[in-house]
Amino acid sequence: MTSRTLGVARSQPAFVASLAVLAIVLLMAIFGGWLAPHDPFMLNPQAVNQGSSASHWLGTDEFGRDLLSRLLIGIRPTLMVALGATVIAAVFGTFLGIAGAYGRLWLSFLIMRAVDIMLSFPPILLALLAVGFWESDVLSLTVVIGVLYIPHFARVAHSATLQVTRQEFMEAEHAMGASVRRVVFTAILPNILSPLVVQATLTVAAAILLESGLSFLGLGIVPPEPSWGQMIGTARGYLGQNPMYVIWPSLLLALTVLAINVVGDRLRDILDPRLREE
Amino acid sequence: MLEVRNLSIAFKTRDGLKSAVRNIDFTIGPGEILGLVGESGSGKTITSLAVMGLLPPNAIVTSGEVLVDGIDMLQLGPGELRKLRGRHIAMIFQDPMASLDPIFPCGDQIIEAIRLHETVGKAQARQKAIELLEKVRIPDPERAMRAYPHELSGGQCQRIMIAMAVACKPRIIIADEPTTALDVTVQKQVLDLLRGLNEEVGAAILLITHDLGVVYEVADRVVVMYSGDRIEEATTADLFNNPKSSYAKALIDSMPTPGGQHDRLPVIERDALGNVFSVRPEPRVRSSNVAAAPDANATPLLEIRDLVKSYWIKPAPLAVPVEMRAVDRVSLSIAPRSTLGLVGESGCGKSTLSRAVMRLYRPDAGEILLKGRDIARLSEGEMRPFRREIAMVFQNPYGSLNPRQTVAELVEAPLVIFGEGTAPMRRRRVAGLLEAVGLPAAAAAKYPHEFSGGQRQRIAIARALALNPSLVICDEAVSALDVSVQAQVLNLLKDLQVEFDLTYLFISHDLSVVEHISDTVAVMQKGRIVEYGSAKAIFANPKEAYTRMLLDAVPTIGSDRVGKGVA
Amino acid sequence: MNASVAGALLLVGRKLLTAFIQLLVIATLIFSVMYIMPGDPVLLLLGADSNPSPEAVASMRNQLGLDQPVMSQYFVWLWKALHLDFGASLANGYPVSRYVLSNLPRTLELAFAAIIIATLIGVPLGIAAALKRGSLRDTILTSVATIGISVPVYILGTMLVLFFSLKLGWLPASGYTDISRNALEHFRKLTLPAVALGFGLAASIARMTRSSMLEILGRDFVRALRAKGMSERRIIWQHVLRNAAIPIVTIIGLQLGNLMGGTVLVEAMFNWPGLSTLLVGAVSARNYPLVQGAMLAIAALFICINLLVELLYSLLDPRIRRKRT
Repeated sequence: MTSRTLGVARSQPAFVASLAVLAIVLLMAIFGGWLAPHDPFMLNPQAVNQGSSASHWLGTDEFGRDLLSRLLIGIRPTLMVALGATVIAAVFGTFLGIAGAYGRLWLSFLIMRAVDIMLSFPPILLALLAVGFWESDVLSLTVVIGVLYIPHFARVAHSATLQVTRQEFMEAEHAMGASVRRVVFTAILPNILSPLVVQATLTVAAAILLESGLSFLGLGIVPPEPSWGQMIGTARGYLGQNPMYVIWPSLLLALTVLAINVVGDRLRDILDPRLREE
Repeated sequence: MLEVRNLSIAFKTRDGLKSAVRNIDFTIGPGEILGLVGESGSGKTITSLAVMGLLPPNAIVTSGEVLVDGIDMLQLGPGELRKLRGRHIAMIFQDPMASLDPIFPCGDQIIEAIRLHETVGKAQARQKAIELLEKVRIPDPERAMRAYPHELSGGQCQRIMIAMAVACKPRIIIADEPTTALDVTVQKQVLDLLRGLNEEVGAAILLITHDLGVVYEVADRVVVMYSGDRIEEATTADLFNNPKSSYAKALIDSMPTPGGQHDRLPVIERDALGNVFSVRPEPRVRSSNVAAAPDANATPLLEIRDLVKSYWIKPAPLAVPVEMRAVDRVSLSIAPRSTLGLVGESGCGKSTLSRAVMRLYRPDAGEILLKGRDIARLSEGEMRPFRREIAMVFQNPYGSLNPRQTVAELVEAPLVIFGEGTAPMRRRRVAGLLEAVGLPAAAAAKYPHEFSGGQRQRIAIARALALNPSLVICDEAVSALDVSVQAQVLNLLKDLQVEFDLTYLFISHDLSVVEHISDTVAVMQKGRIVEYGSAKAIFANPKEAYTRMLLDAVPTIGSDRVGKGVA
Repeated sequence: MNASVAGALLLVGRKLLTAFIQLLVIATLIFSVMYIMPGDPVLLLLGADSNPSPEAVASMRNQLGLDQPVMSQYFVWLWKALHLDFGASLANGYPVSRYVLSNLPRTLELAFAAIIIATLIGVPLGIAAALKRGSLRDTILTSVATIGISVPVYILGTMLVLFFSLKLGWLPASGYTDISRNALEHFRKLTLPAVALGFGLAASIARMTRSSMLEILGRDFVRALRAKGMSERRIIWQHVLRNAAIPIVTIIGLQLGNLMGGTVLVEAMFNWPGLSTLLVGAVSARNYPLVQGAMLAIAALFICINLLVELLYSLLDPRIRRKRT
């Protein structure tokens, strides 16, 4: 077990490093507030936009708040939105995708045309519209982003289901007189799980980007509650005075998304049957 | 001319080198046709790729030489190798459609092949391409020049591949399973063409195939391979009349041959020392001693009357759809405990017919009487009790089993669907079924990918028998299997028929298999049954021209029928 | 021959019809979304704090046509939208179409500059990686591409500004200069936003180019071409690339959604006065007609580009061009 883990670490350094990054990010999301050396909301007009010092390791922001403390709690809303949105998108998208591939003709026509139309519109624009008019908090952002990624999931589930339905074992199920429920849960779902898992990792990454993009524009997580995207957006106004202010949240955010993408790529390699044959 | 000496090839794997081919020797003289025969995994294709210098990157030659006119191909650089390929040695592949670039017209690809090795103008090359297409007897060469590969049939694509291969008058042509993807009648045409070109152009041919019949018909000499080793080399006549190695003998024995009526096919076994030999297993004894022989006069178990199933296709984008009858007024009947063999080439409608009987489609017209009750128009709910009576074994042993279920889950599926029995009862039933199809009890906990093709087909058969059906439809059930495995499965089907009182509708494109297993035979062509009668009568004395043509086209060994001599 | 021409026409016709229906559905969606959104535009227009009299509200309602039944509002709006009339901006009464038409070309220019940059970088790098699969070059290029798809466009943009504007002072940090006033300045200001927008796209094009090259290189016909004695270089340039172009064009098409999404952020951070800037401003100000006009324009732009990609796609692939169904 240990030697195998070591072997994986040696042959897949990027993958292992990414898993470590994700573990750290997850721990930050859970224990960030507890780890913070200062009160992330405490203003200090005497110490605005400072560089790193002994008391403020990463410096302070435009209100003199401790940057490290704000970074530590700033991932939680982003991660909650991203994971929640992915769950919503996965559940509804998978269901619609299967129905679109395996359901009655008119139903699948309706679903897939609706999916096509939704897909023909960049998610951030629709998100902008929704959060521009509604009060945005973690819950509404989760729902909006989740709904926006339903069509992406539906598309993946749809094409995977179509592939499965072309296999002979589907005919065998029908020949045995299997019920729709049995076909969906024993024949289709287990066999389309791999692309769905890959899609889920992609969706988490995309949802993080979307939430942080909205927060960057000032339309996402509402201050004073921090989120990394929002901090980057604010820090842009102080590029001249305190360049490190923008660099820390940027680095963390980019690293997180990178780690998710590396894990997603690796999962795709592991789960893709065509690659497994080699 | 081509001399392969002591060739060994290995695959690079994570656990080091894995030997694929060991110490192969053979030579081909000018104008000779050498057959390289073996079952899947015997290393015949990898040998041919090594000869062309086309080994995949994970395969390496560990020893040996490939001499073409005295020059060792394995020592040549890429540039020199390239000059030999196409001009000196040409190759024809198994899947003709995939071997042509899909986005260029076929004509352009032939012209390209000509101009790679000959300095001729475009117009001249084009003229030559058309001549080549005439030589490979493509109807309407001008149209074929313009066509894209997907617009032609598999047989036509293979002709284009052959035209390309002979374009620069190569001295050696390597043909890797050139007819495996084709129908029998097309196979015969392509083989005739190859043989004709061999005489005309004088090129030597290395013919790689799993089909002993093809070798018998075409090859002058044969090399038999088994799991990477050369087992035997002999002239074709010697090999078939007097095989020296026990493996070659077993292989020849296990092929069902038209005309040769045996109850049981010999199967290949290996003893503890790894020696192969052929045994002819005794039929299994029926548990109850009431032997029920098929009775031709009893009321038929299944009777099909004037069954019609149509598709609507558009001949052109703007045209009105026209009706294409996949099954056209078909009438058949099968007596209980007998086997009806349904033969036909691809696209003749035999699969559509079987799926209509299975009621996976609703037929457009006609009746399907199962035990006297018409099931053609039943709704899915009304159909349910009849689903117990009919089971199906599919062609593809890799596709017909859900890869995410264990063997136990797969085999008990019909019981679960019909809510039959408790979990322990089902477990006992699964154990009994696995035993009946000759699988170890430990198989129950495994997943399908852990089994070979033949074993998977046994799993599929066990599943089919779970509810004690009366009718089992076997749709090309042994077509994807190697000859020796095919023999085992055919024997099993015969055993089970007696043991479980089964009636078979056995669908196949392979006439020899159908003759071996069937009591009655129906020949299907373009949706219609053209000939129908007892197996003996049809195979001994075919009345229809189409049946005769099919029978003629089957490459057969040592058959005394219709003027077949040693090539 | 005749049949294939008819088939091509039918294909184009079908795609045009689909695009039109898509646009119609989106227009309906935009209209209804605006309708169910909270906040009364009339109160907003008159200034909710000034407590406008009911008469003033009613007359404003009448003036905007908001007192009509929903369905008739919808059809009037749709009819006008078909004639590029999106009503007047609530902020100053200027016609929305004027804003849309002046900002549309700027977004288009930004998007096309990004696509060109992305294609010019992505395709060659993808090919270079695929040709030496498993080499150091491949590993480096693949890693850079993975980083490229992971870095959010606004972080990349910020870093570019930090480095090229603030540190080196080579390029302006933001803004827009009309090309007729000062062409050089125009392109200097275009550079950073276009690079920021194009980088991520370049990375995903490189990844897709690599994987489709590898996929095609593994096909049977490539082996057959080698068996014909064709040189490796010719196989790649004449056959593999032509085949790989089909999925590559598809991915570029599919990535356009992300690209259009990216313009929202890039325009905002570089003060590029395009459609997205217009939209973001309008959303914050709850300027309903302007939001509708800008959304519809972006959707139309996106659908048009998609249509072009799909037609290009069927031009490249004879299996689609001459399909007989």
